[in-house]
This record gives sequence, C-alpha cells and structure tokens, in this order.
Amino acid sequence: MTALKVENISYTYMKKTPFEKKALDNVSFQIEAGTFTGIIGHTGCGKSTLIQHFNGLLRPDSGKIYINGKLTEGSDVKEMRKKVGLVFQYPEYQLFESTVYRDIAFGLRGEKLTEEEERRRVEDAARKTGLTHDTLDRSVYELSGGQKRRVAIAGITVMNPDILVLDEPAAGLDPEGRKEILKLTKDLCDKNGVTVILVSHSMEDIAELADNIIVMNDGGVEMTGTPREIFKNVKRLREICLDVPLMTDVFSRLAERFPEAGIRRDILTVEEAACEVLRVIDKGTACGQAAEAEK
Amino acid sequence: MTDDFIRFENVSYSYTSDADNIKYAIENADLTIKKGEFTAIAGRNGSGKSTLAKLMNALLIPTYGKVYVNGKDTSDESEVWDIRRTVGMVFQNPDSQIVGATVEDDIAFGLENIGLSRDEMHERIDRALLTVRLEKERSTQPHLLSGGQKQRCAIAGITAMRPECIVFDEATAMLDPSGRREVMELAHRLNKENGITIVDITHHMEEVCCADRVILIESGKIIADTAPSELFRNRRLVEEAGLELPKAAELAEVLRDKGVPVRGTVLTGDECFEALSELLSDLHFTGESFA
Repeated sequence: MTALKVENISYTYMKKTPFEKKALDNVSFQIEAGTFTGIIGHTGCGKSTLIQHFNGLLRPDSGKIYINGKLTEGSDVKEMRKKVGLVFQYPEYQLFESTVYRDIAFGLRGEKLTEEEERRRVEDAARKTGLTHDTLDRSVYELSGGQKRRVAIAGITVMNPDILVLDEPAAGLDPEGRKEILKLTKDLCDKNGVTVILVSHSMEDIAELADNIIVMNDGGVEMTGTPREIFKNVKRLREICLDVPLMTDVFSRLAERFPEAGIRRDILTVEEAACEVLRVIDKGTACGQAAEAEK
Repeated sequence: MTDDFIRFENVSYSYTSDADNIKYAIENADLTIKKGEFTAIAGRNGSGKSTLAKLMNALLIPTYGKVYVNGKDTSDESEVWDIRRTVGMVFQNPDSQIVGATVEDDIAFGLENIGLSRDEMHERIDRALLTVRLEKERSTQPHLLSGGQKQRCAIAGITAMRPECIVFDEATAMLDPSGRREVMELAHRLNKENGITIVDITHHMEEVCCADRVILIESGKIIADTAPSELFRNRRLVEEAGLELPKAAELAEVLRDKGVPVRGTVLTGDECFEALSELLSDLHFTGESFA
C-alpha cells in the first residue's frame, strides 16, 4: 500500500511580491507503507517546505497529495495531522508542560479520552520511545538532551500517526544520544509498522537506516532509489553540495586505484567494508548486504 | 610562559549561587591553551563543554578560580571588552547570530562599536570578505545565504575584529555536508595562515581527528587532554566520554581484530584509503599489470 503519494506539487513563498521564491517545483514521488525513507538535500533545497506539505501545514499551489490512497483537500487538514506526525528540528524547545506525562498527553486533549485511556496511550507512547516509567512524573527540565527529544517524539507518537516525519532528529546530540534516537526511529518503523520519513544531513545515518532515499535539489527531486543506487553517484551528489558515506568514498577510490582487484564501489557501512577487504584479500567471502546485492 | 594564551587555574563554575543545591557545571579545571593551537573539545550533552567555552571570553566568570586570556584576568571588568575582542565565538545556529541587513552590514556591526574610521572599516570588511570567500555576496541579504555561508558571514564579523582566537561552539551542528566542510576548511585555514588559535567544540569525531589536541569533558571535569590518535586508541576513554570511533578507525579496528595487518594511524578517510592501498599493494595488486 502507498502511504504517501505526492503528485506534481509546486509551492511559491511570498507570491506576487519582489521576494517571490519558488521553493518546490513539480515534485512527485511515492512512499510505501511501513518503509523507512530518507530525504537528503543541501540547506535551502526545499526539504522543510516539502515535509510541511505532508500534514497540511502548507498547501501546494498546484498538484495533489494522497495519504493512504486518499486525495487530501484543504478541508482535510485535521485528518492529515492525525495521520501524519511531524517532529521538527530541536523539538525539545517545544516542551512546556510541568511533567513528562503531561507533555506527552497534551496532544490527546481534543480526543475526550477517559483518564484511564489517556494513561494507557501515554504509557504506550513512552514505552515505544524508550522512556522508563519513572520518567513520566519528572520535570522535562531534569532530563538529558537525548531524553528530552524522546519526550518530544513521544508527544507525537501518542497520536498514533501512520506516518512519522522527523526533521534532523539527531542534530546537536552527542554520539550516544544520536545512536539512541536513530535506533528509536528505526524501531518505530520495524516493530510498530510506522512509515518513517527522516530528513538528515548525515549520509552515514541515511545509508544505514533508509530503505529508500529521495534526493532534493533546488526545489525538485534530483533522484530516488535505494541507498546503494543513490550513493553510486558520488560526483553528482557532491555537485549538489551533498556527499557519500565515508566508506563509499574510500572504496570507490580504492576501486579506481586497483581496477584489477575487482573492488566494489557501492560499500555503505563499516561492516560491509570489512567484509569487502576480507573478500578481496581472499580471507573470506562477501557477506551481509554486499552479498545480497551481488546476487 | 609567553605562549600560554588561555589559562584556567582551578576553575569551578556554578549556574546557581544558592548554597544549598550548588552544582558545578565545571569543576576544578586546570587548562592551558597555547597560541596557534587547534584544540577540539568533546563530551556528552550537558557535560560542560559550552560552559567551558563561555569562560574563555568572559561571557561567564568563574565562581572559583581564575581564567586568564593573554595574561588578563577575565574577572577584571576593565578587561572584559578587550578579552571579548581577542576571543571571538561562533555559535550553533546560523540564524540567531546575524544582525545586519546585508553581509557587509553584518560584518560592520562589531566594527561600528569599537569606533573605527570609515576607511579602516572598509579595509577590514574587504579583508574579512576575502578571508571567508564571500566577496561576491557582500551585498546579499543574509537570509538568502546557505547555512555554511551564514556561518562564514558570522566568522567574517569576528575576523574583522582581528581576534587572536575563535571558539566554535558546535558551529557545524546544523549544516549540510558541504556547509560543514566549508566551515571546517575555513577554521583550519585561519589557524594555519593567520595563526589564529582555534577551539572547536564538537560532537563530530571527524572534526576531532583533524585537531592538534582534544580535551574530553565528563560531568564538568576534564578527564583527558591528549592527541586525537592517542584518544581513539583508548577504547575505555572513548566510551567513558560517550564518544564513538571515527568510521575509518572502526574499520581498521575490525580488520585488525580479524588478523589483517592494517598499518599506521587510521582516523580519517584519507588515512584509511592510504592504509588499505598499502595493504592491497603488498598483495601485488599494483597498477594495471593484473588486467
């Protein structure tokens, strides 16, 4: 099933003023339910404008957006926001309630739940986002950066969205916090069946997590494909101010320097890289994803 | 000693002065940064990195102990302006540190406040634009710049003040890959060509690798002060400070564990490429001869 389909959407900021700027130009793609999609693109390429269309914060000037196969109209905004949860950059700045529990529960206010139902939903969201039970009664200001971000994400997942869009959820976190948050997004997809869309500047993270990648450039879609397909385009990605994972760079250079060694150019992770070295020096056979791709 | 540029003497800092629940963000820190050094500071969120940075240019004054910049005591109010002109800071969010209507105006902002002549201002602005390579953008409105360009604009505003040191407080955290590269290249160029002392607070191990020296902070305490190559050889320390190995070092370690002789220090992509090239050359994969 297609969770999200975007068809020829365009959007211009400050129309009919001297500051008019076309932010999206005829963008089309679709995302299957239950998959993990990465969106990459340089600053100002239209990523944020695009994701704000997913839950109706912005409406396209032209073009159509389908959620779960259903065409969305301007009047469906409320419904869109229930289906598509959007986690902004630095979401912890939006925490404001006195306790973690109250902050997570805030979005449920309009739903007229019984106290019991509310507690069940909040506890469920906390569990899915890896917050321990005793955290719920604490003040959000006592938490670490990574934990605050979990609370912010829990505040969105408590609404049970089908699609969860996260804009740079790991920015500014230390390496441990990054790993935790990224694992959380992956788990929401793999274990809870949520369709996850992740906007990131980290090619490494995208390579590791995403099933598919959408590459944006100057308001349009530059290319779409699996990480392995996308990161083959080293030269083009650099032209549009992006990059490839470090291992992809090292191995495509090695392949060039030792053409006779038959080194794979589409190595993405350290794990694959290690396998490839072992294979080339004849100490092992291709393993993991590299082997799968070879078939 | 003359080349001690920044000196911390048993510095502690607490954000509250309430004696009952005093909590030190920085505790008993002794530290010397020499002129011309490129130092990275790493550690967990909330470990005290930014507090340490703000103590370097009198944005914060130690609760206990002393910080000296070029021999000047930061707690001496008469020296504060001079110290802030000597040590500039670049913050994380490009949008919250630009005040001018154009790039040129923004660079002029600091200069206007130190009473320079118009000619002198023009000369300094020209030079700053040249240094950060934004000559073509001099009349551009800052909101039209890319993230990397905005940070370079902020850096231009600092270099125009002729600082001796620039502190980058996670200045690349919000940038795309090319923005990050632009800013880091500039930081290294300012260090090498202009002799500016650089302090780079970062969560990015790739940035740590390129520094002369790395200081690790954990719970307000300096737990290590070493060379990046030494740090990443010390698994226990890396874990204690909540860091990770750079990808290149991780690969080298995995391979060595499997008995593959990867030689030398492997921290960066280039070092990884060289080490693996050497490995493959040893195995007689040399040039096109094989084909």
